[in-house]
Amino acid sequence: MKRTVIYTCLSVSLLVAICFSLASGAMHIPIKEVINTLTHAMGFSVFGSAGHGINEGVIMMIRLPRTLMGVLVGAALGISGAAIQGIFRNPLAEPSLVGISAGASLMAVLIIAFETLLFSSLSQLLGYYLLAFGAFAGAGITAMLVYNLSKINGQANVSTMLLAGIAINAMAGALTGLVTYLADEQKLRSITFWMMGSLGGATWQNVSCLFPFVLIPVIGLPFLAKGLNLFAIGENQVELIGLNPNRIKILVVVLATMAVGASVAVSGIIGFIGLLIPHLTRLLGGVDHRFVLPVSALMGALVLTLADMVSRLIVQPIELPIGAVTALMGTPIFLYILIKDKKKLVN
Amino acid sequence: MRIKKYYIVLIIVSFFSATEYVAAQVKRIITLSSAISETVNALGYGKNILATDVTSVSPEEINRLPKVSRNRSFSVESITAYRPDLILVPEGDFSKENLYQFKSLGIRVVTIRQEFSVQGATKFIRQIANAIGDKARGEQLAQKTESNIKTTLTQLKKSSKSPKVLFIYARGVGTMNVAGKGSSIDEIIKLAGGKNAIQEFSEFKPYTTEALIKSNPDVILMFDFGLSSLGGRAAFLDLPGVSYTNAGKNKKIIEMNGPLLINFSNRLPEAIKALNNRIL
Repeated sequence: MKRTVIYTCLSVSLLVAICFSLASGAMHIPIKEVINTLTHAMGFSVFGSAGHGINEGVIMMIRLPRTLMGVLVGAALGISGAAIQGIFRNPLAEPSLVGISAGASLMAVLIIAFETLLFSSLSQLLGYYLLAFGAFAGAGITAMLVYNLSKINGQANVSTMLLAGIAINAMAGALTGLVTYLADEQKLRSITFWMMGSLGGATWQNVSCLFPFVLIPVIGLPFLAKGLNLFAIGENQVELIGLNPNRIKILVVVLATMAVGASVAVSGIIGFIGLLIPHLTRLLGGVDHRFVLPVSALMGALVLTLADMVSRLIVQPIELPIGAVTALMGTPIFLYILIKDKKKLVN
Repeated sequence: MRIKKYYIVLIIVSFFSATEYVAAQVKRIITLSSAISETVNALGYGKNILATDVTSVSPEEINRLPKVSRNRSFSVESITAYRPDLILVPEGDFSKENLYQFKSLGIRVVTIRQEFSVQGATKFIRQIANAIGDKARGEQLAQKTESNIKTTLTQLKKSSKSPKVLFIYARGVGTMNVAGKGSSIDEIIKLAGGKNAIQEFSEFKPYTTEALIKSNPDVILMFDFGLSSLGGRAAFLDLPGVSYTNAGKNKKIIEMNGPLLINFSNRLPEAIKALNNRIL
């Protein structure tokens, strides 16, 4: 009963947030016109004809893809964070801690810096998608590397995995720093985008590119919820009921990499969502992964949509990097949870 | 599906309307660099500029216009809010995604590539005039600038030995870069009758005390905000190593207006003359 209420509340809030997000921005567009344009695009009309050319363009070409990207990336980061915390049995784990985000952004930064030198033939072949593809490959490579490093007697050991993740993170960070030092001013600008994250580059192209990479994990991960619940008690519990713990680990890592890699590819690194959202969901409705996973996706989408609105509205005419907004919003909440639960965490 | 169809139609429509704009004269312009703003203004279209970037501070009427950027970041929607029909932007300042976004909104964006030379300056003027749709005035201004440069170059102060000039781009003591070969600064120093103290590398590289002493410049050149970011002349002369150079010994530290020095537009003759006066 309580969970039905939570699902409903979050879904409604998400819808409301999406509407507000579509109606707010540097361009002043009356809400009526927003509704007109949207309904018109869907094939029916409420208040008659659609709006003026440019307003319609801004809603359909700038705001709608951007909002959708926020929803997708938020859902991806939320659910991956929850799943990764699940297999690590560690509430501090998040996609960026296992090295996935760092690997993705390192690859992206390398491509930006050396595109003209090394990747020109590849760039012609893949064109627009080179960066996205590179980031995704970077995420995959680091995830595999971390996973293989953490294997002891064929079993992935969780604490080794965390340590390997931290090491890879540091290395990727250092290499990114080096590249930043060598890059010229123009490249520096696009590198900043990857380091701090932004939804400002959303187009229908990259949103549709992102869609399957988020949809599959969002549908797939909840199927692993039962296994993750047993993980919380201990790995042998998983084996006792006839599930293969290694398979669960691999599946979680693959699906999370898929979602996070694709998200980083289109929006850069957006921190804190993956860490914070699962905590908030557990606070709302307990630790059952059958609940935590889908709700984290919903809540991630909601929070990122709101954060994007803040980043667009607060310092017009420019936009704040969204990574800074999520960190600013997230840190106080996180600290609050930490202080409140300090005793629980120690025990 | 309906949405996809819709946006294909919109792209086609915007494509046609964009080509139409080329023929018609442009009314509402956004200029996103100081060199571009200044040139559009010199072409007589200053009143058509709706907004600029932060670097566009001269002349006064341009400085009064609203700014749509801070540092180098722009938001597509803030720019669109002015409903421009032409955006003039330096090459590389917009990402591929930004260009695509403006294109799908039917707003014409012309990216301007700048070359830092006398020919580059006149080419720059012509490019901008073409984008606005007033070739005639572009030709006029380009020729005027070219002949002004020629006259200026003949009137320059000469000396038997051209002074070695070291340019330092400073933003506080922690961030100092020196200009190498092939940069805009390198070219303007040459035009003004000096010699760039750095011949070992191209573009901008971080400043080191040892490299400063080794290059032993006769003059140290900085942007005005650069010198003040280091705490002014006196503070600069106290920096380690400066007193070992000719420039330090003779206190030949000069500061100049940044945009004037590196814009390479219609004000190039003025820039050459001003720098020549200071270094010789």
